[in-house]
Amino acid sequence: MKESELKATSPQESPQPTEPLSVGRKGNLDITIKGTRGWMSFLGVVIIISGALAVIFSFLTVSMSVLFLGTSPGSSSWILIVSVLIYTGVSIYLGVLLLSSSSHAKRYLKQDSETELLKYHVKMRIFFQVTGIITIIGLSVWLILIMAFSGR
Amino acid sequence: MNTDLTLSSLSIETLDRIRAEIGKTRGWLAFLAVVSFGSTLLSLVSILISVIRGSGSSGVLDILVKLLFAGFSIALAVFLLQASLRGKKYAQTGKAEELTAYHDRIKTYFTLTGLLVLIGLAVAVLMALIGSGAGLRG
Repeated sequence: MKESELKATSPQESPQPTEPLSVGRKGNLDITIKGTRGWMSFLGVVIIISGALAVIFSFLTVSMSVLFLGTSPGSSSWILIVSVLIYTGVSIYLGVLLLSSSSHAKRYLKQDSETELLKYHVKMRIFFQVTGIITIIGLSVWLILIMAFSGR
Repeated sequence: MNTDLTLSSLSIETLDRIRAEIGKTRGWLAFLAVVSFGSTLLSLVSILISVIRGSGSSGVLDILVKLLFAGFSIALAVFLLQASLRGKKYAQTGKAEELTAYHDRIKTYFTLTGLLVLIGLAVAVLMALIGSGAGLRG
């Protein structure tokens, strides 16, 4: 037997077959998903509202100083607006992901559709993936700022 | 027992694809759990330093609230890590019990996060009411 054939038949390379889901286990899974989807939609709404509030308050802060103090917005105001806009965009995206994941779960529970269950998992994967990427970007920015300010 | 032996309508193809999705998700779950552990440890160290130094601004209540939040974020990180481990086992073995255990942890994570957000909102509203009441009286 050739080495490549051995590799192909080794247990490490060929994963174990997926066990079918019994009716009892599927019932448990449905109850768990039902419990998860309510909190998911609640968090989705809270995240979207927090993003919207952030953009409203940042515009108010900048416009108040322009209106009442008569000063033109400085570079710090623009940095504030741009960072809040990025935060809002990301918040809305994450909130929409959670809401859409929750609605797929709802449709799965209602119609018992396999496609909806799969979409629920896909949306949840994208949610955690985006959260992870944002965390990496946040940590990098934090490290860069620490290095920049410690060098002064 | 009899119902547990009856197979559900979910096809193996769909379960295979769900297994692949969970396999991709679990790495991010573990990463987020580790970051959460790290940031909580850092905040615990900063609380400890402020207690040792006896910084005037942080009272006993302030420290207790910070410790409570640190405890909650450690609990969240533990649930994320457990979900990641269950997800890894499901991706490796394909056993149905690992799939339900994975979903159980995810549910606990979202429930705890939701409860924390609710408590945070309630505290914020309470503070705003107290603040506005004090402002009116003052």
